[in-house]
Amino acid sequence: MYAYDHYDQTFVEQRAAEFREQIDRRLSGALSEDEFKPLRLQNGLYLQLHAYMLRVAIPYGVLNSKQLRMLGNLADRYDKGYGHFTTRQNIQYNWTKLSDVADMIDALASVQMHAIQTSGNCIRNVTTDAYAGVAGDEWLDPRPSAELLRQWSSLHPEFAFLPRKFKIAVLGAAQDRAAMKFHDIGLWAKLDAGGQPTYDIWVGGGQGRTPRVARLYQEAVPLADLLPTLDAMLRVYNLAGRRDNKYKARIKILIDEMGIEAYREAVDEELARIDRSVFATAVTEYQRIAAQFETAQRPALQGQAIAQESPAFHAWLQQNGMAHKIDGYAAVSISLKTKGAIPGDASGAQMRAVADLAERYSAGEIRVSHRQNLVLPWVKLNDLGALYAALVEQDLAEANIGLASDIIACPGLDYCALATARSIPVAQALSARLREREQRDGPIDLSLNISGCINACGHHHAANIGILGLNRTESETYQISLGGRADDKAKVGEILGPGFSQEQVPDVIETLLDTWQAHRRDNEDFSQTFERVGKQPFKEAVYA
Amino acid sequence: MPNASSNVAALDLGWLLQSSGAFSHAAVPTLDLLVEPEAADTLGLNNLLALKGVGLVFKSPHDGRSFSLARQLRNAGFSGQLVGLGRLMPDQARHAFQSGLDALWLEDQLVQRHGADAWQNALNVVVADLYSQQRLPLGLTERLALPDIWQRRQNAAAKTLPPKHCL
Amino acid sequence: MARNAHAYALSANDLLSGAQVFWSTNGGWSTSFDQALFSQQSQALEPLGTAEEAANRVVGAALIPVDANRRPIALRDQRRLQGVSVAVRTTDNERSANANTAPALARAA
Ligand code: SF4
Repeated sequence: MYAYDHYDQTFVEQRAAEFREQIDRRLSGALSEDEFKPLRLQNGLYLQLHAYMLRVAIPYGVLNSKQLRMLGNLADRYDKGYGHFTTRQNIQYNWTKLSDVADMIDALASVQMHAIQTSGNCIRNVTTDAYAGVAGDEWLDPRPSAELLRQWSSLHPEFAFLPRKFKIAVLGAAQDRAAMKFHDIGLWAKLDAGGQPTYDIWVGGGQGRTPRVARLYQEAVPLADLLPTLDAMLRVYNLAGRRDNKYKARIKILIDEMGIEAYREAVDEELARIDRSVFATAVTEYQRIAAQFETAQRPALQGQAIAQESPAFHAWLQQNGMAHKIDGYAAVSISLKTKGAIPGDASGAQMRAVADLAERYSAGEIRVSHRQNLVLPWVKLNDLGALYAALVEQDLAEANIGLASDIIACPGLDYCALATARSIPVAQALSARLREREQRDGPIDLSLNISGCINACGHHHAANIGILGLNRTESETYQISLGGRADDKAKVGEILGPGFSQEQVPDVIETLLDTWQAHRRDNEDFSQTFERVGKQPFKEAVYA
Repeated sequence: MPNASSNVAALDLGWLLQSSGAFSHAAVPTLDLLVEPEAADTLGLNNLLALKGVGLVFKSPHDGRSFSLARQLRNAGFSGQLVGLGRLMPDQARHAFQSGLDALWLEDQLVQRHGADAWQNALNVVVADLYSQQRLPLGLTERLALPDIWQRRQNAAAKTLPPKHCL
Repeated sequence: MARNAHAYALSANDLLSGAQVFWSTNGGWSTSFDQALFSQQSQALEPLGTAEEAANRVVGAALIPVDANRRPIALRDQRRLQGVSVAVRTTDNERSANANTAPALARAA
C-alpha cells in the first residue's frame, strides 16, 4: 500500500499546524464564524446538535493495523468510546471538542492520516471499491488513480470554495462496488490495448433532493489527459455552478440546466487553453504510486484447502467471504451490523481487536467499505477457521454481508444538525427484526438503506428498499421507496406512497418482503421482480 | 475607470499584499476594469486580454469563482496585473496567488480584524507547496524558489537513480 | 416566529466544547434547560444571541419556541433536548477515566 514519503508527511503536518493556528485565530475572534466555517469544514470539522464532529479520511478505504489502532484510541480518548464509519470511506467522531481537534489531527498525522477535505465545498476524499487490489473481477487496481487524485486535489488553489461539495469515485473492476454512478464524477478505469490506464468519465450523479444517475461524459480518456480534463471540468463548474440555492448547486443541476452538450463545449474550450506542461509529471507520479501498491501484493499460495469446519463457519464464509484475485487467499468482510447494532459504529476496543486480527491474519491490512463494514483483504485460506473463531469471540462474526440486515444508515437526528428525523433507532429495530427473519428463513438478498433527511447520506435512493425520515407537522414519518440500486445498473428508487410512523416501519418492511417472496420467480433479485410486477402489488399489500 | 462593479472602487486607501510578499499601506493600484464574477461572461474573456490591470472581486469568504477566473485569464494569455479585492481572508492568499493573481488589495478594517501579521504571514506560515502547480506569477515563483512537490520528488529521484524510460 | 409559541428560550452551541447551551435566568449560558430563561418576546432574546455570537462565546444561536408547559414545539428541538437515543458515556469523568486506561497517543513532533 501507499506509504507517505517525506514530502507527503511534511504536507500533512504543515496542514495540521495551519489548522491549529486557524483555531487559535477563531478563538481570539480574528476569524468570524462565517470565515472559519469553510476553513474548519475543509479540515473535516462540523458543528452538530450536541457537539462538533470530526470526519477523518480513510483514503480509498485502506488502513494498516497501526492506523486502525489509532482510530480506536481516538474514539476512547476524545469521543465516547465509539467511531462511526460512513458511506464515503471516512470515520466520524461525534463528540469532538474544538479545543481537542488540533491534538487529534496531530495524532492522525503521526500515522499518516488526516481529515483534509472530508467536508466543505471542495473536492472530497476520493473513494473506491473496498476490494481494490484483491477482487477477482478487477482489471486495474483503482487505488493508484485515487492516490494521484488525492494529491492533485489536496489544497487545489482554485477548487476549495466551490458552489457545493464535489465527490469523486474510481473503479477498476467489472462490478461497481463504490456506487460510482451516484458521484459528481465517476471514473471507470480500464486498460487500453497497450496495457496503459484509460478512464471512462461519468458526470453529474448524486443523491440528495434531486437524485441523478451519472451520465457518460467521455470514454477512454488516457492517463496523461486525466488531470487536465478534470481541471477543466471543475473550472467550468466553479464558474457556472449555481450559488443562489444550495439545493441547486451541485454539478448535476448545472448539467441539467445547461445540457451536457453545452457543458462539454465549455469544458473543451477550457481544455484548449490549459497549459499541459503543468501536468507533465503526473504520469511518472502515477507509476511511482502504482509501484508501491504492486510491491504490497502477495505471491500465490499452493494447496490451501479449507479444513472441515462447522456449518456456522461455512455459512459465514459463504456470506462474508469474497473470491480473491490471487490463489490461496480470501477477502473477508467483518459486519458492523450485528443484530440491533448502530450501522457503521465500532467501539475503540473493537477497532483495536480488528487491528490485532489484521496483523495476525491479513498482512496488517484492513479496508473500509461504502456499506459501512470492514474487510480483511489478505486472509490465507488455511487461516480462515482460526480467524472465524477469533471473530466469534469478539462478537464480530455476523454472517450478513449484503443482506437486508446489513443496513446502511446515516447518523440522523441523533447527531446531525440537518436531520429531519432519527435514523439510528429505526435501523436498530429493523436490524433486530430482519436478522431474526434471516436466521429463521434464510438469507434475504437485498439492500435496505436509511437516511435522516433528503440529503441522502444514507443512500436511501440507491437501495432496493429505501427509507427516508421526514418531519411532518413536528412528528417523524418514514417514507419508503422501492427499486433503487447502486451497481452498474444504477437506478433511483420510486416512492411507494404516504409515510409511516417509527413503530410501524418494521411491520411494513416485513410486509414488503412477504410481497416480494409471493411474486418472486426462481432466483430473481429484488430489482428483477420489482421491474416485472411494478409497485402496485407492494402498494396494495402495505396500504391495504 | 470602466466598472462592472459599484462599491469597491469608492475606496482608495488600503493595504496591498503582493505575491512577492511585499505588504504596504497604499492606494488602489491603477486598474482598467473591476470584474464581478457574474459579469465575467457578459464581458467576454477576449475583451479583457489586452487590458493592463484587472481587479477581480471576491464577494464572500465562500465564493471561489474569482480564483478560477484568474486562472482562466492567465490560461488565455492575459499578461497584465491581476488584483483581488473584496471579502478575502488571509487563508485565501495562497489560493489567490497560486491561481494567478499578482496582488490583493485589502480594506483597512479587514487588515485590522485579521491582524497585519496574519496577512503578512499568509505566505510564510501556510502550506505553500502543491503537488502539481499551476503556472505561478513571477513574484511568487521567486519567493518560493521551489518547483512543485511532484517535480521536486522526481528531481530527487533522478539524482539517486540512473535515468529511467517513461512510458 | 412559530405559531402557537407561548414563549421562547435562547439556545446555542458553546464555541469551545460544541455542547448545547441555554441562556439562563442567571444571565449566562447553562447546559441545563431547566435553568433556561423564557421570554414571551422573541425580540428580547434575538439581539442577545447575536451579541453572544459576536463575542465569540457561542455559535448557532437560535430561539426555541415552547408551549405553555415549556415543552419545545419543534420536533428538532424536542429530539435535541432528549439527547441521543443510544446509550453513551455521558460525563466527562467517565471520559477521563477511560482516557487513563486507553493506550497513550503518539504526538507528532
Ligand atoms: S442524510 Fe441528512 S440526517 Fe443523515 S447525515 Fe446526511 S444530512 Fe444528516
